[in-house]
Amino acid sequence: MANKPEFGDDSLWRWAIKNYYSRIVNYVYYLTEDWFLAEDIAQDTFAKGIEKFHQLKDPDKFFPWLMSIAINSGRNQVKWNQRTIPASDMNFYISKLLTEESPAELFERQEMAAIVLKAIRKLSHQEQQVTIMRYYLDIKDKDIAFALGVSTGTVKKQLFRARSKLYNDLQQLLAEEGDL
Amino acid sequence: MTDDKLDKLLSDSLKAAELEMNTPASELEQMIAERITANRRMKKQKQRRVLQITAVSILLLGIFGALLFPEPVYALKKQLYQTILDIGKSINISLNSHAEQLQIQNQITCEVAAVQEDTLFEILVPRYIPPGYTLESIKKNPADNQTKIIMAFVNKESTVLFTQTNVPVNYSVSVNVDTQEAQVESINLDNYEGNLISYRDGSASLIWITDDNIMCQIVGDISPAQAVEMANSF
Repeated sequence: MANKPEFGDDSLWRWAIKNYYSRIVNYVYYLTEDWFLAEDIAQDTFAKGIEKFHQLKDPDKFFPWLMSIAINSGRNQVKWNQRTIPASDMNFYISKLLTEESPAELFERQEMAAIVLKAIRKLSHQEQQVTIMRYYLDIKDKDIAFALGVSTGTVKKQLFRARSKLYNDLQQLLAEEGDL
Repeated sequence: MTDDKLDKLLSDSLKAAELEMNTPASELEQMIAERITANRRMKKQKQRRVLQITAVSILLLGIFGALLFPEPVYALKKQLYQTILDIGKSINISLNSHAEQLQIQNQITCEVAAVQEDTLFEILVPRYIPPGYTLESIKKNPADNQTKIIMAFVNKESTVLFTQTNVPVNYSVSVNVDTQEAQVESINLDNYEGNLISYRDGSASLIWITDDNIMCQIVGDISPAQAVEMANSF
C-alpha cells in the first residue's frame, strides 16, 4: 500500500479509492453475498465520505470512519441482515480466489477458505461484522467499536463469542473434511 | 488448534477469499463523482418534498381544525386577525403621525405666507409641533412700532402659543416669576441662549432673542423638554 497522503491533501481521496474501495466491496460482499449491492454500498460510502469529510475530526480514524459510513449505508439494505449462503454462491465465491499457488495448493486453500467462510456464515450478523473487520480488514478493537458505534467492551465480547463458536465449528468442519 | 493458529486461519482464509477488482481507478472516480451529483439532486428533491408536505399538512390542519374544532380555531383566527390589525394600526399611527406633522407644516406655511407680506421680519416656522397639537391660527398683532406674530396650537383643551416680536437692538428680557410657582433657568438652545420657566403644573415658557432681533416665546401647556425641542426646530 502506497504511503497515505496527508490529511487535507487533494490526493487523499484518490489514494483512498485505490486502497480502500476493494476492501469495502469485499467486506460488504462477505456480509451480503451480493456483488452489485457491495459495489453500490462502496460507491455510496465514498460519495458520502467526500461530502461529509469536514465532519471527520481525527485523521487516524479515517478508515474506521469510512467503514462506519459503509455500515450505515448497508443497514438500509434488506440483504444486510440476511446471512444464509446458498451452496451455489459459495462455489462461485471460492472459484474466484486469487492466488499464485500451484493447483494443489490452490485447491487446498480454496477448500480451507470455504470451510472458514461456512463457519463465519453461522455467526450472528454482529459477530460476522466484527470478525470480518478484525481478520479481513485488520482493524483494531477500538476502531471497530468506532465504526459500529458501540463500546470497545462490546466488540471484545462479540469477538470472544465469535472465536469460541468458530473454534468449535471449525474443529467439527475440519474433522468432517478429514483435516484434523 | 491454538488461539494463534485459529487467528491465522481466519485471517488467511478471509484474505485469500478476497475478490479482485478489475475496474480502473479512473472509472471508479467517475462513478463516485456521478453518485455525489445524484445524491445532491436527491437531497434537493427530498427537501422540496418535505416543504411541500409541510405546506399541505398546515393547510389540511387548518381546514380539518376549523371543521373539527371550530371554536378554538375561530379563537386562534380571531387572535391572529387582531394581532395583524394591531400591527397595522401601529404602522398606521406612525404614518399618520408623520403625515399629520406634514399636514400641519403645510397649513402653517400657507397661513404664514398670508401674513408674511406686511411683516418686516421673516416669520419663523417651527418644524416640531408637540404631538396631538394642530394649528388654530396665526395672527399679526401690531403694537406701537413692534409687530407681533402669534401662532396658536391647540390640542383638545390645551393651547400652546408661539409668539415672535421684533425688538430693538440690544433688547434684553427680564423674567420675574413667583419662585413658589415656577423655576427659571438659563439654557443653551442650538443657536441661542434662552430662559426657560418651568411651572409646577408641568407647563413651561421659553423665551429667547434671535440675531435678527426677534424675541420668541413659547408658552402654554407644553413640557419644558417639548418647548426646547420646538425652539431648536427652526
